[in-house]
Amino acid sequence: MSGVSAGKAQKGDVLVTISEPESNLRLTVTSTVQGLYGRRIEAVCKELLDDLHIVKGHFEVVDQQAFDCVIRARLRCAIARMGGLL
Amino acid sequence: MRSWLYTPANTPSRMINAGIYGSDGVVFDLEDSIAPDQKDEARFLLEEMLGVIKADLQRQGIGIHIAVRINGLDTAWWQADLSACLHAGVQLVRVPKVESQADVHRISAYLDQLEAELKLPQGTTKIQALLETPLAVEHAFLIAASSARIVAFSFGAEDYCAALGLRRKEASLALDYPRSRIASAAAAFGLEAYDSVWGFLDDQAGLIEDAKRSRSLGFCGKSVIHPNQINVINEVFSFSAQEIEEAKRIVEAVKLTSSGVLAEQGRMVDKPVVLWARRVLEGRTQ
Amino acid sequence: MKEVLTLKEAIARSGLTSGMRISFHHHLRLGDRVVGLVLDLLQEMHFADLTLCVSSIMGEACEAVLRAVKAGVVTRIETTGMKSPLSEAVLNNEVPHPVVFRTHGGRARAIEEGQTPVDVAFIAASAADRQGNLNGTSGPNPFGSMGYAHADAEYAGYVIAITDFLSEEPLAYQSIKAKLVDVLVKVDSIGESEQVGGGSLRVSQNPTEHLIAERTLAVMQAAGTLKPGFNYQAGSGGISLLVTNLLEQYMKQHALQGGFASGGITGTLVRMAKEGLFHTLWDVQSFDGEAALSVAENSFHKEMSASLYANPNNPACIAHQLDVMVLSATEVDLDFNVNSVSGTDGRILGALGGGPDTAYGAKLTIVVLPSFRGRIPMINKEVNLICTPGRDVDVVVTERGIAVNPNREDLLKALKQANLKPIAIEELMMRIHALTGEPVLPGKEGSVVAVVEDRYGKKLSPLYSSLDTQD
Repeated sequence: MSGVSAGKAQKGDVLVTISEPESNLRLTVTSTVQGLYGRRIEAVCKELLDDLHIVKGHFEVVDQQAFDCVIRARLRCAIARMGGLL
Repeated sequence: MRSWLYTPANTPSRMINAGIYGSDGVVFDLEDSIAPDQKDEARFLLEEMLGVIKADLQRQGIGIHIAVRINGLDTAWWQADLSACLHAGVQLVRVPKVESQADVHRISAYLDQLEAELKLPQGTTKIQALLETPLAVEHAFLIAASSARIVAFSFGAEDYCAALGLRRKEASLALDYPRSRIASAAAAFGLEAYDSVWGFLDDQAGLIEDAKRSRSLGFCGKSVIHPNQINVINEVFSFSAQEIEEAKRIVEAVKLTSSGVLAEQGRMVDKPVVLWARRVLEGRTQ
Repeated sequence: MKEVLTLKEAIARSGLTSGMRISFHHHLRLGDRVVGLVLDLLQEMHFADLTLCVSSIMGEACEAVLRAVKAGVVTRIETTGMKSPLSEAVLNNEVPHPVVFRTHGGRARAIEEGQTPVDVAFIAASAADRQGNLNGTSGPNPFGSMGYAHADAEYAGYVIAITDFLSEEPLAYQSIKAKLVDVLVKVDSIGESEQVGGGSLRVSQNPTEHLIAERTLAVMQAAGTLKPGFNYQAGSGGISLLVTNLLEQYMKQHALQGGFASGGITGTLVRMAKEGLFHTLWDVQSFDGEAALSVAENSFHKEMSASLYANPNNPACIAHQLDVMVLSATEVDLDFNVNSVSGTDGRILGALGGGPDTAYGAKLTIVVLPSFRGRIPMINKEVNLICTPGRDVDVVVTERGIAVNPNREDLLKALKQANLKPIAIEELMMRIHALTGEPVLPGKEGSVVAVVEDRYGKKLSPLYSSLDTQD
């Protein structure tokens, strides 16, 4: 399996895609509220990845103004879909 | 509860606002409104969002009840659904297509297990049983008797009509029987009874008529699928000002008399009427 | 008989030279094609360094103005509002001088007082007669009131009227009299009238907007506003339109007769006047086809100039006679200051319109908006642009709470008594930020790309280029 995704690219939501599960952990965040919340979104993602001890995979987070809890939900779902390959 | 708003557990912008529109309850749905390949997404979303939603409602002073409709026992998802619910602090689940005591026992056993794991008092999680088929309707009494976890019935008219080969809008007469049976079985065990959703969003008059009929058959509330159905449903299932006035008079009069039967405004008022009056003042429609 | 020239001839005749000020109205709204026609021609004719003084810029006019800016034809812009793609260009420092945002009343005052003398006014009319009288109610593309064009017609050095319908008969209804018009130009089409109101304004189905509208009506009730003869105005946003619909139901139910309704007039208000709920409609801008035709047909429907509407030098202006004004905003801050031009993130989204004028004048000013749009909170510590000062704003109604300005203890008491549970605006902001997270507000560094003027022409608030906002 090359990659998985979770969530949707629509307002209030976020699309999380995980690819290259063998590569070292890389996080790419783009957001339509980059100025207002860009740093915070990155921090939320990093904290969750830390908590779950994820060290591998390219995580792409395409945000369309999702709350923190939504970002976490979509991240956790994508990670679960990878089924322990990370 | 007079009204329950169904909200699919896959759209964050809808979920965050589900509780603000004035319904007495919200049912977050993991079942029919969620595509099979998105069940896991919905579960995670529910788990992460529920705490935020509850805190938000509390800040606004909104005391709304929260239930989650899980997937049916005939699917591969119901256990994961229940697990996610209990981990998220959900205490009320709406179970679709309940047809027998065995169904209830199956769910209850799994809930026992989950509650033990999470160190919750046994029986914390309550069940609203969705009765959607003729068999379910026939078994209503047995289902009501099957477990202390059952607190309410919800009627699913769409599936029931389909089973009888009837169109929903033409089935008013045919629905009297299942509604009566459900309301009666509910009353026998002190359960609440909620009527089926009305899917015709452009037909508000039809909604009101459908709701009034179910109320007159003993239902205390109805599920809705859009916020603009909430106000009218709350109104149909609330006591009118006159009814509240009458109830007050009766209860006042009871205080002044020592015998069980009393005369009020020139007519005999016996015990069941007094019970009704007390229920009205407690705000219960059943 | 008024002379009829081509547009090019009229421009040549007008005495327009580079560096001068030209003006347009925006009554054709999204359907306007005149602004583009004129600006493109001015570019061909090698005009440069012009100041554009418009009542607002929307739709294709925004693209036309941007073309003119890029070609150096227009170097200064004075308006009540603007949209994409012009707004991005302004934020990106592509306009040589800061844009000036004025209110409708402020624009009328500036023209009349000579603060912004208009050299050539281009006035689109849906019909003109041979004498040179103009209206916006006849012809194939009626748009209704010509409210924003009156100051231009009366005070501009040269007035070029542009129409697609030249009537041989004198116009029965005349908005602008022939004596104010210097020359007529006939074109194939001034625009598309179906796009005046974006089609007929559809009633919002959004349940959050409905909730806010219901609460707003409750606020008006509790405040004691809804009494016989009350004067009412609501903005053009979705929630404001819903409030008007709910008000209609309420007034019918309670057999309440109001005084006048004013501002942007819709078919709903026309219907309400027909039902006797308001005795007069004061129309500065017609929002849909029904209102557009009603101006000429109904005696209760009166066209009003921007000056009569909101010129602050006129203490008896319509805006000052309002009992209640319902308006929307892009954000509000803890001092109740309202931003209606830029968003929380600094992007230009909207307009000043007549908001500051009516907020000042109305006895009760209610700002209606959702708590957040997407993730962006609508209530913040500080708005990044003050458009309407907080002292003129009385109540803020959102779906998550109602806040009353502390300078209105009478209202606070009334709303509490009516069980509307008003809360401090700080608490409302906290409720919202608890969901959205606290935003990192745009900084106030960099160049000033726009300035908001108050009604009297004083600089109120600068808008900074926010080049760090990535989209």
